[in-house]
Amino acid sequence: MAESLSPDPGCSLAAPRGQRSSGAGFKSIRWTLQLWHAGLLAVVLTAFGSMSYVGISRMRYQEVDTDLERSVQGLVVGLRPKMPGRPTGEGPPGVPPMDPRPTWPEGDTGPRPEPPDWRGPGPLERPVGRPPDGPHARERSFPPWLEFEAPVELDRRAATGELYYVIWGFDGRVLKSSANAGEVPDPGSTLSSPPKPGPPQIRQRGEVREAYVYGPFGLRGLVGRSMRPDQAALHRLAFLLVAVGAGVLVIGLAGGWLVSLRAVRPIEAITAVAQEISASNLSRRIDLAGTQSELGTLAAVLNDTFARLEAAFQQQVRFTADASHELRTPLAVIHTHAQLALSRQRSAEEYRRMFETCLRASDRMKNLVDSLLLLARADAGRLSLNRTELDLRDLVAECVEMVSPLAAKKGVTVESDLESVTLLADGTRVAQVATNLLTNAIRYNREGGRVQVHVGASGSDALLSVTDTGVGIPAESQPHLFERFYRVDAARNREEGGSGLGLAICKSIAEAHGGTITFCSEAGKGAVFLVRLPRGGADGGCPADSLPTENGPSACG
Amino acid sequence: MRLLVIEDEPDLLEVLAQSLREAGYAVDEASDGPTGLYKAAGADYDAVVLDLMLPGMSGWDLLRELRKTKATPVLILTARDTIPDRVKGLDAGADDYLTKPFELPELQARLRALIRRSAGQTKATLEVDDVEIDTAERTVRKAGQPVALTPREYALVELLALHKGRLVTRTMIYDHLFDEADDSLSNLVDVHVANVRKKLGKDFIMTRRGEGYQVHG
Repeated sequence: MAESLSPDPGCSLAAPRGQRSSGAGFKSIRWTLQLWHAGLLAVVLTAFGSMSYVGISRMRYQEVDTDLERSVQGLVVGLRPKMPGRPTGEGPPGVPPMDPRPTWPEGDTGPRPEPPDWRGPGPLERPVGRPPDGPHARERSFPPWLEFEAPVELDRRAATGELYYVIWGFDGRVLKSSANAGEVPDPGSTLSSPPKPGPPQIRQRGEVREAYVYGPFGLRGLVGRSMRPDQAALHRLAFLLVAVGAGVLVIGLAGGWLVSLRAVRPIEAITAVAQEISASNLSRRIDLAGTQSELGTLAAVLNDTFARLEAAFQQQVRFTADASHELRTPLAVIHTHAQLALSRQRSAEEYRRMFETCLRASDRMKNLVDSLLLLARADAGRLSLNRTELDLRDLVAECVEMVSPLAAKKGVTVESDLESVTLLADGTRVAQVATNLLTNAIRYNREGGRVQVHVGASGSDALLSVTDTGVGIPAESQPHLFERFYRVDAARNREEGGSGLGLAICKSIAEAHGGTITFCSEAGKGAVFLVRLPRGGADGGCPADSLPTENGPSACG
Repeated sequence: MRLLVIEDEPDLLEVLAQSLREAGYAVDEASDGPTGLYKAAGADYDAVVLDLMLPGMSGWDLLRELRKTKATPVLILTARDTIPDRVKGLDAGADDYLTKPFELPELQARLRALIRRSAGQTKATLEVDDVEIDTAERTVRKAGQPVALTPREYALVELLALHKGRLVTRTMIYDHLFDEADDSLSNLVDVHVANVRKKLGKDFIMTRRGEGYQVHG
């Protein structure tokens, strides 16, 4: 019996062990956070990287294109025939003349044949792209001896290999090209009619980027450059972006992991503590030192819950222990008497006496079981009240009558001051309350003391007060007075001691009627108990809590 | 053998005292803590049966007070059955712990064992020369033959045999054989001694003049 009553060692309330390790799988909050974090970071980095790459690449191409366009326009505009034999005072051949003005000969014919009529439609009518063939063609083109000069800047840049240029005449003949031009397809060769002069256009041919323009007289100028270095630079840029992105991703993930570790660690600590909490060990608490923020609040709330759980559990354990203690004593009386009676042959008188004792003990057990049952029902809210219209004065008068032998035995005078108050209540239960209070008032009174009983009405309530001149209730006991099995004197003589449930029962009955029971006492000066019951028999519910703290004046006044 | 029962439940006190008296013990009763302590400290009981929840003074406090002066074997008999209660009781100086409700034969057996151990004996059967005393059955045999003794005579034989080889004073005999309710005169001891000598042989009990009695070790 001892083992069965002691608390179950930690099986019922303890969570199954090992859940913690399996709970930290890929579905854990931490992994979810980490995956989201990784995904988001990857998307952001990819978007940023590709936008950067595309932007930079486009910018580079635009720069190149602008440069090429400007250059090709300069080429067409700045192209001029080179005058052999004309003293130019220039240095080595190829060095552009100082005069940037177009030096197309006007009247300066000299010994050379007439230049073609530039303004004439002839050359332009000629289909472009046809290779110059035959003398006729040559006649209508620039004279083959005519050499051209490109703008100085272009030549200089062509010399460094930075770019190249080509210029075709309307007949497709290369009028001038830089040394590094190589084989460049004539942009006008596929046209069926001479193109109109227009803005430069860009074309990509393999690795080279070229800008070409249709100039006057069917001239086609083209400036191009290899994009290989730019593409190599862009590749390096891409590589750099990928490398930096990967680095940021790794650092971000590691940081996220650490942050989530820090975030999850208190949760794990809380989980561990919560798992350790069991019926046999309710005293564990979460260490609040390491937890801040929302988790700190959670931990505090949990600690608070644990504390209340522990208090409730201890109360339950104490109640069970008390109940079993109270039941065991009469049980031991019955058991031992039966054993003794059977141990040998006895006289009829002896048997009778033993049975009487057993009956007394079983009566005590019955009362105790009844009380426990009543309290259990009241706890479950199932205390059934058999309400009838009754006069509290008559009921209390009967109770006073009933306790008068006890009062006489203790030499206590009971003074009644009863007014007629009708109310709707369960007579048996209310009588139980009155008898309990009266019995207590007599039991704990001094020799020759007085007990005053008042019944009256106050508004919609019926009042019953019992005042005694006894030992009173010490202040430290007052908060516990209505607790079950609580006794002011823990080890009072059995002959006068009750079960320790009387006041708890009074409280349950009063509350089931929708009423309250309060008291006021000073050690050595007696006590006043005041029961307030609604006359209309309002239903149980939970009246303003009748903990002893709110008692004082209401009961004393 | 004289016992003190401290129990605040009157019905239980009554049945305990009666059953122990029927088992041949002299039994004193106390129904509250202070009385119990006063009696336990004032006489040499062979054992004390102690309840824990007592008016006036708890069983634990009583035990701690008693242990300052007496080594009397104490059996705690209580409805408090939790392990902490048992530990607390045993640590306070109790020799045994029994919870209510209990079996009378078990209580008596435990008391016999307590008394035996406190006298330095370990067996339930005591032997003095050819006399064999069965403390469980409360029977005495001489040379294998049962000898009929009254309860008082048996108690005297058991007391002397438990202290065999040692002096047992007349006061000790009074203390251990008669309870406070016994209105006996001192020469009754001599009557019992004489009766025992008749039944177990003249030399079984040796008189040490002016001091008391002794049986051979």
